Amino acid sequence: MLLLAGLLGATLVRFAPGFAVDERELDTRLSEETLNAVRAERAADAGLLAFYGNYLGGLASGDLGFSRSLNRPVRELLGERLPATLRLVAVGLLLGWMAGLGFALSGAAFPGSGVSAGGAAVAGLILSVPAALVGLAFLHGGWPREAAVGVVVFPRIYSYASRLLQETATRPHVLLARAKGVSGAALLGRHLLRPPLGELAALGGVTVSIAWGACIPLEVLCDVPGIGQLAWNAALGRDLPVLVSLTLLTALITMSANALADIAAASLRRPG
Amino acid sequence: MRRLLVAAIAVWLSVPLGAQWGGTLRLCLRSEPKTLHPLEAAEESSETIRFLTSAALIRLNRASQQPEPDLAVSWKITDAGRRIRFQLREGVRFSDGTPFTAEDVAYTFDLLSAASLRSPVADSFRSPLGVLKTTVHSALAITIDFPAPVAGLDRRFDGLSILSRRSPLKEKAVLGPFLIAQHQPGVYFHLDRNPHYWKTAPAGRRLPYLDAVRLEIQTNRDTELLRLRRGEIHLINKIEPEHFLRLKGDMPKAPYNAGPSLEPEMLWFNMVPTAPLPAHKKAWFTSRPFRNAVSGAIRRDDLVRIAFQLLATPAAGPVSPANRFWFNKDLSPRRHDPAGSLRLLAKVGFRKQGPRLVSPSGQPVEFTLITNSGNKTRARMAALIQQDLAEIGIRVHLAPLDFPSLIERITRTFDYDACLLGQTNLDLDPNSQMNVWLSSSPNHQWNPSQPAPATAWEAEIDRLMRAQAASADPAERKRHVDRVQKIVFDEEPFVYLLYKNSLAASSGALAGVQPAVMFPQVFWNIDRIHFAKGAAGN
Repeated sequence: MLLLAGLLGATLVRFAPGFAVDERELDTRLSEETLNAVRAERAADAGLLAFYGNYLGGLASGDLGFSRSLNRPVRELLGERLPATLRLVAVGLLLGWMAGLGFALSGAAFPGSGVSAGGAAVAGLILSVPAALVGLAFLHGGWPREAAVGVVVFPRIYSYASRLLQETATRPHVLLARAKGVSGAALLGRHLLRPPLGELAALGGVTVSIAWGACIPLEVLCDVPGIGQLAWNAALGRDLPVLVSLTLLTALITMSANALADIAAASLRRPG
Repeated sequence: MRRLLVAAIAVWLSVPLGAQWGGTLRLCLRSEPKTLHPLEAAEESSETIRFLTSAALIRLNRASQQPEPDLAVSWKITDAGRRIRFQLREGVRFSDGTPFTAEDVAYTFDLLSAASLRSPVADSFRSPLGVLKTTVHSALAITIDFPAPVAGLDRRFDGLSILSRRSPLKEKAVLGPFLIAQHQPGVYFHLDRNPHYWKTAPAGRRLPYLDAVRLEIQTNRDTELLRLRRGEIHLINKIEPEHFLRLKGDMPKAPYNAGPSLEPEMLWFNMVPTAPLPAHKKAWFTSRPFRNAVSGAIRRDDLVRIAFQLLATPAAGPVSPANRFWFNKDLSPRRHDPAGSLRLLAKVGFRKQGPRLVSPSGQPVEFTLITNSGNKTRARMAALIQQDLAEIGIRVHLAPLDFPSLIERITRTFDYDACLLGQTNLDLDPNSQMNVWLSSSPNHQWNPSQPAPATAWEAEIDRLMRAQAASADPAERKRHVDRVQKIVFDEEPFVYLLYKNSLAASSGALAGVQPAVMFPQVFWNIDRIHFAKGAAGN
């Protein structure tokens, strides 16, 4: 599946207009001989079969190919940029989960207090704003970019968690606990949060994918030197080795996050 | 001797008394440099690093546009431009302390001659007629022999960084005012002052004034502007008219307007005989009256006023008025004259049919104008051109394309009618534009790589450009280049529209900034830029 996703991405880019051109071709200082050499270099990348053969051969030994648009080995580029994106995603998810779950829990714990209505309104508003616009607002406000990722994932977390918790709040064991006078942390932790933990863990996997996807516009707009910015530049430069590697990386991260979430969900749902 | 005296006086005059020493200058690079090897640099970010860290034998003074001694104290061109002999500066050392000698110059030329090296600087010293030869006479004297006369030879050395033969650091040992101290990929470069830099202030202290330069990699131009306003960076080398005006509103002393730049905006029609266009369109585009009529129907003043908010200058031809020596002063921008355009078109059989212009063979005249997407100013220009041409009955369809698609169309498939684009000129000498004007060149955009010139006027341009390139006499070269400009003005293979102004910005913290039209516009004199008294530079 992983390989298939990467290879399909490569195939689409290969057939995009302007695939085999190089911006240097418009540099009037370069001689005809140099321009011909530049064209020959790019033409060598045009054959899909040769590309796949070389790429897969290299992949077996950890070589992800060479980026012509950035003049660097792809492995180096990924190594340099991955930490920035991982930090953005990790901190953003933490903030998004704290805010989303916090609002959802408050709404469930204090029904009729207006928290639910307020949270739903905020989540609905943010949901209708594209990630790029959120990025622009954070850029102009001078606020931390990680929080922008948090804002993007917040409505998804809030909406789903809120629905789950409100359902839980109407279950007999919660009503009984309330009737017995259980409140505060005990009600939240033991009776409201514990039952839907499995579903929330599954949501965790999904939010990783959402946060990862939001990184492309956010990193481009906020000038974060991460994977998202690299993907954008590679797409503009029709940089096949970078795009294939990024597709594989994205598929790997998405599948790993979902697999971990599934395992966590299964273990949390297990009785006892 | 006279040259030395002039240079010494210029240096003395440019240094203010009591300039503040120290501080870190901050500015932005717009992309990660593709290479840090000075001989391979080809794009703006790599060239910025090269300029800040390297020294050349001869440097072009961006203010006077004249060559000045740098690592060479003097030079002499002989044998009709085939030979140049340099006397080198004594006591100069690379950043690691390795002495600089003529052996280093010879070594640099050895590297430059490697067939695998493909870069603008390497190409500017190559000749199809043979290889150059270096002769080291002493530690401080060297002669370079070229296989054929080279026009404007001394100016070509401006971009050539000299590398060390003996330093173990290889190209990392530099002769420029700064050296790379730290680099976090995708984030920043931190350059520290070169402790061995040879230039000194009048009191004898080693330049540069600044302790360091920090180059933040910032691809977003809005963010760059925002950071200047917040005081996080001190300089912007090139800014858009829109940003210039915005800055002028709230930081009146920050923006600089150095007048017309060297970079024209122009449009051209596809004249490639094998292009996949209908025959009637090919006939229009290769017709001089048609091109002249289109040119005459465009209001250049409106392009300047509306698209560039008056921060541009109408263009007459391929040489900017900013290029003091080479500009043909007899040419002035074509006047807006739609009635004249219609008369010109009528002479070759075009006629108005209601609001539309119809060709001699009966087709309504319309074409698609492609340009690169994402450039707001160019998009505005295209819209204005569309309106202007509608006045004479020509319908223009606009098609912004992303850059790779556009390059593919104008260089490979030739599947386009007309293109609106700018040209980047980094050099004053017209020799750097040989690849545009020679009909055999792949960069002869309207009809590239011709086996033989398709028209008599292109054959004449070929002849004149080759003649000026083979001459060592500046006056003779100027005559040839003036004639080329006149032919281009008459034939309009490129319809020159305007020269955008060279716009830059500097925070009030700096002194010694002298914006110029040549790259690098605001920091070409980086070793003499310093923080103003009392300004914080950290």
